[in-house]
Amino acid sequence: MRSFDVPEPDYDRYTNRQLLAVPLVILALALLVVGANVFLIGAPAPLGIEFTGGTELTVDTTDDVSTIESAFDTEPTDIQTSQTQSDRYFVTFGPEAGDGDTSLQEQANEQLEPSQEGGDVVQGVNTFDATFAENTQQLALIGVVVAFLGMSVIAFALFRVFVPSVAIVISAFSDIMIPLALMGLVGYELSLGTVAALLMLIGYSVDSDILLNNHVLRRGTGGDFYDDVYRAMHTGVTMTVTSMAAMATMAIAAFIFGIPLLLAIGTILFVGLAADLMNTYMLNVALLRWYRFDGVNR
Amino acid sequence: MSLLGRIRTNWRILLLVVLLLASMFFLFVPGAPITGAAADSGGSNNATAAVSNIQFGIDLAGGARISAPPHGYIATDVQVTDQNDQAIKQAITNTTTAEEEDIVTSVAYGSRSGFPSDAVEVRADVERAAFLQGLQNAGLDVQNGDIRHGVSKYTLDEIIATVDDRLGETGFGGSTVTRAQSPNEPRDRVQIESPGQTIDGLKNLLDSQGEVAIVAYYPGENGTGAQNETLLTQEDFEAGSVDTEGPRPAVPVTLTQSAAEDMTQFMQESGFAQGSTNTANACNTNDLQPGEYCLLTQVDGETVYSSPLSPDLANSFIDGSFTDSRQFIVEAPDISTAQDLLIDMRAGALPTTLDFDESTEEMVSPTLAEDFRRNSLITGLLAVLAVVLTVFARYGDPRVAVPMAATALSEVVILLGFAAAIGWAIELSHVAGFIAVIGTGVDDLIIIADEVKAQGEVTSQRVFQNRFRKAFWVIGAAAATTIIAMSPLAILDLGQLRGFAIITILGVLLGVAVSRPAYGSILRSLTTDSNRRS
Repeated sequence: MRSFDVPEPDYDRYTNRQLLAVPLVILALALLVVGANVFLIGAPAPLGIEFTGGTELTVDTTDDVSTIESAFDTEPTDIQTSQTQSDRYFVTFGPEAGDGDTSLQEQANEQLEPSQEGGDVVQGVNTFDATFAENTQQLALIGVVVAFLGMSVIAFALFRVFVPSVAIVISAFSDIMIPLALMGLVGYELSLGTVAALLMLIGYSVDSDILLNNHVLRRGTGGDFYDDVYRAMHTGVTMTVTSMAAMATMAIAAFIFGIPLLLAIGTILFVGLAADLMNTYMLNVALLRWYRFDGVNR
Repeated sequence: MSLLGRIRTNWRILLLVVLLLASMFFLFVPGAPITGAAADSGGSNNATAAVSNIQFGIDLAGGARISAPPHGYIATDVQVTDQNDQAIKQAITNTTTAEEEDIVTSVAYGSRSGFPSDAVEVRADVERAAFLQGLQNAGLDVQNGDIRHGVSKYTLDEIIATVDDRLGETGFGGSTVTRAQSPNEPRDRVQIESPGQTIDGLKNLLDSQGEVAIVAYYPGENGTGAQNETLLTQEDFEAGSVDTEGPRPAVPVTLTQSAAEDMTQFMQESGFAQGSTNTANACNTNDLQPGEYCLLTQVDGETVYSSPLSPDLANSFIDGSFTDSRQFIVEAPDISTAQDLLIDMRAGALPTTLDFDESTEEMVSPTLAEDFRRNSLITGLLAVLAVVLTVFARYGDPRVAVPMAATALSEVVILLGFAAAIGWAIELSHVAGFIAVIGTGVDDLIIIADEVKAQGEVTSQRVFQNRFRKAFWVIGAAAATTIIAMSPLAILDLGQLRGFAIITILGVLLGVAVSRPAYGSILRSLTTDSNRRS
């Protein structure tokens, strides 16, 4: 008894050009958004306080948002309300806040009414120094670049033929760029958590690409190209959909519970995995078909 | 099949079971031989979960973490010798706010491990340009590029050791002090983690240098005015514990032999001992009068208490018997000051203060930590449930799906057992790592299942082996890429990302080496056995 089966698209009806068009246009759009953001704000997506410096306070108070806004010497840059606890707020400040005589914590404790009689207002503090944050930004960039290069080298080492290896690399690149562009569009901040998710996408993305390439190239059954693709799809789509189910669940639960790190990782991975379905079974398949029927004969 | 034969063919499953049992032992048996902070302190102060040996980090247990650079600059590649040493120090005190004792050079420190052989270090909050000016005024050929914002490794180690002692003396149990992983980027950092504490509590403990000195306050040369002479610093004595029996809280101290002799000599030659027996003196801490003979207790140059010599003590200096007893008591106005004094005396002074203006701080209250702990557990379980349901929906066959879910979960249990065994504190980012491990794990198990079940029924061991090997190529290749993609994060100093990356890499290694092959074996015995029976 199966509740879902993997569909078998009729690849014969589409030319390689048609198959390539959709993922490449979407990649181009994503690059446009990311490029525009780099040009406008100097980063592919808005940067969180881990990368810019600043403070985030978690406060439990009976006061409302406007009272919180005016409670500090420096005005908060952002105030978010918890989904599960109505009296819990996440208050964000720029890097220069709290440098005065009284710390932000002290200001919060003095100015705001605790939600529990005699309890603490400030439940959590995260402060990132601006110079340190800049360093973190560089390290994260190095990390992402090294990870991506490492993955590319492995991809070439595994298959040792140009087109299929490049297919893996382009696909992984697009899997990262699409969620990154979406983040920029909806104003979702880059944090250490989202960078981790983007890197994790490399791992997930390559899984299904390697599987497809392996079925078509290495298995050497000499059989029908489409049979090979469908077999790889059966496994690959199952894998990706399972991961997407896990990530969607994690994101929703983390959203309800107010755990930003898990929400960030879940959301990015879900979007990236959806992009991976498109990239693997349109872009990658088209490149492999071209390689198999046209590329090898030259 | 013989028992031995069964073991031989199913050794992979056996290995998985053994690892699982070992993990269960480390996780749940009280008193299991675990290492780390929990074991050291008997677990009393540590946030260990009630039902298991798992330890939690700051964000899941509550507590504070501060990463702050030390104040100071160091200039290397400078010609500092016995001859110009004093002149250099003098020149720097002229241009900066530093005192002479804040400046150390390779002349005195060059032989110590971690201190460069050609360096001048200023251990205070000074301006870079002023420090450079001072060095140049002393006739040294120094450029801005020779100066680094930070201190030598020797000094940094000293700071870490002192902070560690201070935390220990205060009873901030389970605290750890480390140097930040990447040195000099952009500045050296000291990282302090303290379960159950607040940022303000930690800062209060760490913001003073904690230099305790016993200073003599007595009339000037011609009998008028007053002068100060530092007699003892905390290297000169051993402190006992706070004594609350007397009229005032006090800390008894025992001097080293040489310090006792020096002090006795001073008391005799300066006439301090004689003078204090002759005069009635009040020694009011806030209102010292010229002509009084008083002993001042100073912390970082601030007088916290002053008192006259007791007649007995004065006499023991006069007749020289003090060099035998070598004991006196340091009084304090109240118990908390006495306790602070004791902490500073025992832990010693920090070579330099920490720069909290450029610190990175994290604090999680116990309430918030409990929310995180419970909610991240629920989130993780829901994610696993989603995986299991999807796998069931896809395969329908419980013979495939049940072992698949069980194998993926066993990877997490083994990782948790490993974490408990080495005393690793679990953080929120690790939870994300565990979920990622389940994700990649199930991916691989799906590959194995599909490969084995493809192309008709499995009829023999040989067919199975052949297909399993094919599936494993993909799994190995995917594992290699995931490890390569995560390894920069596991090495770089990126806070919570490190934990996430390390868990993911460990999970992938464990999966490829043990649990995923074991799943293959389980699948084989389930599918081939049923074929044989039918």
